[in-house]
Amino acid sequence: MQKLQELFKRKQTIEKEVNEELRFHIDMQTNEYAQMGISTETSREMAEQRFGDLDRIKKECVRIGSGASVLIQLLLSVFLLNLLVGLVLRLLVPESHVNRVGDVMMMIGGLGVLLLYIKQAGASRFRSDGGLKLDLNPGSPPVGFDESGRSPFDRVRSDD
Amino acid sequence: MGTNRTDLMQGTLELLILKTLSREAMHGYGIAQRIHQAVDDLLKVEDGSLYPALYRMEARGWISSEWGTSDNNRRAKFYKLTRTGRRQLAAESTNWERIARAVTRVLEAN
Repeated sequence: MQKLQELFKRKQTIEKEVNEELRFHIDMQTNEYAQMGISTETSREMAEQRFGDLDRIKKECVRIGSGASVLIQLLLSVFLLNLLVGLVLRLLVPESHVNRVGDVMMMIGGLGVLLLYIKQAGASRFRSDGGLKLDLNPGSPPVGFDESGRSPFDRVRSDD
Repeated sequence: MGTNRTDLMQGTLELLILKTLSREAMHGYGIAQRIHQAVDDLLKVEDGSLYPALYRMEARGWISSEWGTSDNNRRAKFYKLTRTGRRQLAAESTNWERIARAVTRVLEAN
């Protein structure tokens, strides 16, 4: 349900999330400089300078994020409309050939919504250290993890 | 004295991000740190330029994102490679190697 709601994310929400994400980056960089013994104020200035033009980058991220969101929303609306119209035709019109049209429209609409949902729900939850967390069976190692707890990503050999 | 650091082009940055995420899922700051460590100051990568690249790549379906909790218990957006992204990484790596070979050949010939 949460994933379906994400499909209808409004621009204000995207802006808020972009802001939070970029702030997190600058704060992390600030902390790193501060741990080197640099004052907090100077650390923040250095972090912001290293980051680049924050306002420009924020606007660009919102523009890209909103564009993708609008397309998904449009597709979802079309599929939901198909589903609804198909249902109405199926329930309210007695003629069998119209019922068949209704069935096809419902199938297209339902399939479309399902595919969009699967696309959005594709990401697994993440561990705090950046690894994947697949908590299908709390008592045993998740699918793909070995007995030592290493994820499939941990086992990927580096080319470096 | 000429500069030893090269400005990074957009396509190259995307390749670096794909490669970084091929090992594990990370938030944007982690990706930036890993890239900086790997290029060892040979390439100039402005930290902020990472984010429009991440958003573009997500729009293309190469990566996906989800909010999670960082090591210091802060809310952070984590990115991971999708199946499409893995295929894109393989294709771009091959392409990059081909270009590098071709350029090297031209430079050595002249």
